Amino acid sequence: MTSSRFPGYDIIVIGAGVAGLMAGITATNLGARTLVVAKGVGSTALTTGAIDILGTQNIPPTRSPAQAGPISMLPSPIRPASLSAALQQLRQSQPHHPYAIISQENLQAGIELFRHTCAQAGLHYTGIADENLWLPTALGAVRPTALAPAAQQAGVVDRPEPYLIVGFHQLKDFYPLYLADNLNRTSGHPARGIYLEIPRIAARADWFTLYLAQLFDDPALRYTVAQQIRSHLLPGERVGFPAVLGQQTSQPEIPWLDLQHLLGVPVFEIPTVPPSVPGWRMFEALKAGFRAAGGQLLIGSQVVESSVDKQKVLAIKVQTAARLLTLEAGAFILAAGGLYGGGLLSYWDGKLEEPLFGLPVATPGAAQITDWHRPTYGAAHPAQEFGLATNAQLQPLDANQEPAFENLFAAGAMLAHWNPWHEKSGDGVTIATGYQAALSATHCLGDRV
Amino acid sequence: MEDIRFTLDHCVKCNICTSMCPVSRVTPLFPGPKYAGPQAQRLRYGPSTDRSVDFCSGCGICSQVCPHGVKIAEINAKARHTMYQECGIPLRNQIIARPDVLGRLASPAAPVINLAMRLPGVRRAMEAILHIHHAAPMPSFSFETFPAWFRNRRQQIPSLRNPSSNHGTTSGATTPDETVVYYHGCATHFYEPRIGKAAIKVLERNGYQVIVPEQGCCGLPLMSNGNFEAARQVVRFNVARLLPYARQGLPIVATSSSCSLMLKREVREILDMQDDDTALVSAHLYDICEFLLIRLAMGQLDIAFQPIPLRVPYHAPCQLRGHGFGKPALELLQLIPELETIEMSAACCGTAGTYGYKQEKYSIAMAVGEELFSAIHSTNPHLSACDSETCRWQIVHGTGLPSVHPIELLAAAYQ
Repeated sequence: MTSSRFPGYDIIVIGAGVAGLMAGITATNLGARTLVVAKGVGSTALTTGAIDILGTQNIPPTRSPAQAGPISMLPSPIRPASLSAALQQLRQSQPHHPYAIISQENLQAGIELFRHTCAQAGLHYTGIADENLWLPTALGAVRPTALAPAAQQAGVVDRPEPYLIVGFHQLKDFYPLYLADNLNRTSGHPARGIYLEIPRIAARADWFTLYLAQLFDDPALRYTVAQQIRSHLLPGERVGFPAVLGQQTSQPEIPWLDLQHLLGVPVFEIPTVPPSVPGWRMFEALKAGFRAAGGQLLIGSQVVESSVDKQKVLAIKVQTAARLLTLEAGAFILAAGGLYGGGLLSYWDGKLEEPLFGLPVATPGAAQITDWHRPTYGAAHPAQEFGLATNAQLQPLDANQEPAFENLFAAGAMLAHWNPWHEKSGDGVTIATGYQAALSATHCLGDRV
Repeated sequence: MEDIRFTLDHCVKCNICTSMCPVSRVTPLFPGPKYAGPQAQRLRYGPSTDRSVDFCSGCGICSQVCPHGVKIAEINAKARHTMYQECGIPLRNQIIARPDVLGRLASPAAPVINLAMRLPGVRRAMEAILHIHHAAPMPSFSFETFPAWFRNRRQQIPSLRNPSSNHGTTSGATTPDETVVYYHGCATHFYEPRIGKAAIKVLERNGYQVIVPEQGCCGLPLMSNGNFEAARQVVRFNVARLLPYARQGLPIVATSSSCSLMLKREVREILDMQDDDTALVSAHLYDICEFLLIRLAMGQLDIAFQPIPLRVPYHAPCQLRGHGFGKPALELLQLIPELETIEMSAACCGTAGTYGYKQEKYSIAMAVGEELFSAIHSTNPHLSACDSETCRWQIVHGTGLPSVHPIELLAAAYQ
């Protein structure tokens, strides 16, 4: 099979999740000609759309099997202790954690850039509170998060209003009565659920969240929905919807604001099981921000090979329809995801691999394969912390703990020494490391940019 | 190569494909790529499980966005083939899948046929008899075909004469390194010779000698209408004609991004044509903008473009995105001074080849394209650009505005 080569870039980012897109936006803003290339659409569209920075204080959650708790155990809440104090504590107790590697300033700057980018796309996040928000889940549990999309804000348990949760028979995996029952217990507020019958919903036997969201782009439908709810609404209640309030991307908050206006009470969205409309909105906002900054996005092409010399990565090779395409750049950012996302691979015999550059995969807390997992599902499994070890510039380290290549940087779920699920730190780390990797990569280019 | 249907084992049910499917979001008739593809495929031991897979347009976006490498659109294409084997291929599908045959029959009488096609009664009758939607954007036949123009031009310019090929070659450089083979496809052949003329102009301007061999339809319309056997036949016809050039190592350049994707990859993955000859032709096939961008990277592209003071909305067709090399046209058009190219973010124009022609699918295709049409209108209410012919025709139909191939803009800038 022949191969070919296109004009090169300043920076190539591998992976189009939150880390990759944030790296792309940062690098493009700094003047670098940047390409983001990814095998497919990552898991961004599967997330709640809220930004977790740090949601639990029992850090490390658990490293010993004896401490592994059942799944129903909620992480201890960060309250009233402040988020910044918790981060400070984490930096001291876990010096290898990405938050310990990256400065507080760069974490904040990354978050600010994220918020700015989303705001440009009409998607607003509330200011960095130093305390987590507690928001309802689709099961009626409550979860801590640092920043929520404006449309999810009014769900916070700190508000006094009782909940009225609405749902639709045709939307699977969102059961308003069940949700309300649980929410009553977890939030302490009165909560009740109702089902709505809305026009055009009978067209499908069951609805996919994004398609149902399209119906809510129609003002006439929102008017009908508001009328139906008004006949159920008790004084003082707030209204929670599954997160399906609109899918148009030009002004994503309009359907939510309109319903709130029509009902005259606080209205909020509760994220659903994947695919999640708020996650999809966030993904669209980041893509739009990257494109608007002048970056190029290549989704659907797998990077299958790299070309390196002793010090540097020279090029990557992308599988196209009939041949490999060589793409050169001055610096590369690896944000291809962890063991779940496919950026790291694991095998039955305990072999772990970073397939593109052959970087060593760090396995903190697990010397052998029998240590990878704990007996209970909800425990903090060491495998969740596997990944690439880096220095402060986010250069992945080789077996001698030296930077593997002077122009290669890593970000996001590929990094070792953190546990997004148990720490509830997924978005904070991906945003901050994406931002930091782009700063380092641009710096490494020197006069080229 | 392993049958692509086995890729269903990689599906984790994340529904990203369904999120991005432009068809299932506008119609309940198609249950979505996850259901029709990997999910239903588990139940397909031979006979078809359902007919809804016929409403998949085959745009291929699902396969592009899948983070796990499931070949969803390809699974659907094979399932459609099985379905048509069971229920028979409708006459309508047999007709619209053969643009080359239609062209050969109609071009000699193009003025009359084009006029007749504009009579409302004719299209209504076609809809009643053949179930081809009366409003679907059928292209006009060109009286002078592209190969005829190419031959005449050679006769008028004696220095261009070269008996070594069927339709001829053009002069310019003569070393083999600087010779390219042009695969124009049916659209340029019978409907839009202007695209081929622009391609020849750009290639010659860059010093290439262009060979235009005898060629047939790429087979994509036959394949997407469920007729795999006929599709393989036309592919074999093309491979036989292109193989001698591929053996010489000559690049084969195409202006239709759908034809070129068909010959690069679909023949292998969907039609299961795994032979070495087909593979060799595939390996030498280039989309024209891909080819020019490679030349740019080698410092071998004439970039003395004249300014075109225009703002042009550009839609990269789904089939072009399927090539996996990005959007080379965007980078090339950036080289034209004063030309501002605005990339459209809408996923699909809706027509997906012949899908939008069909009576029962026309309104779906129009609903899919709506986002693109309005985005084009708000960017430039005069002109748009797009690499694939049926997409251009659909965009012209949906916007009421002309649409050009990027190569036409490049050719215009070489004044």
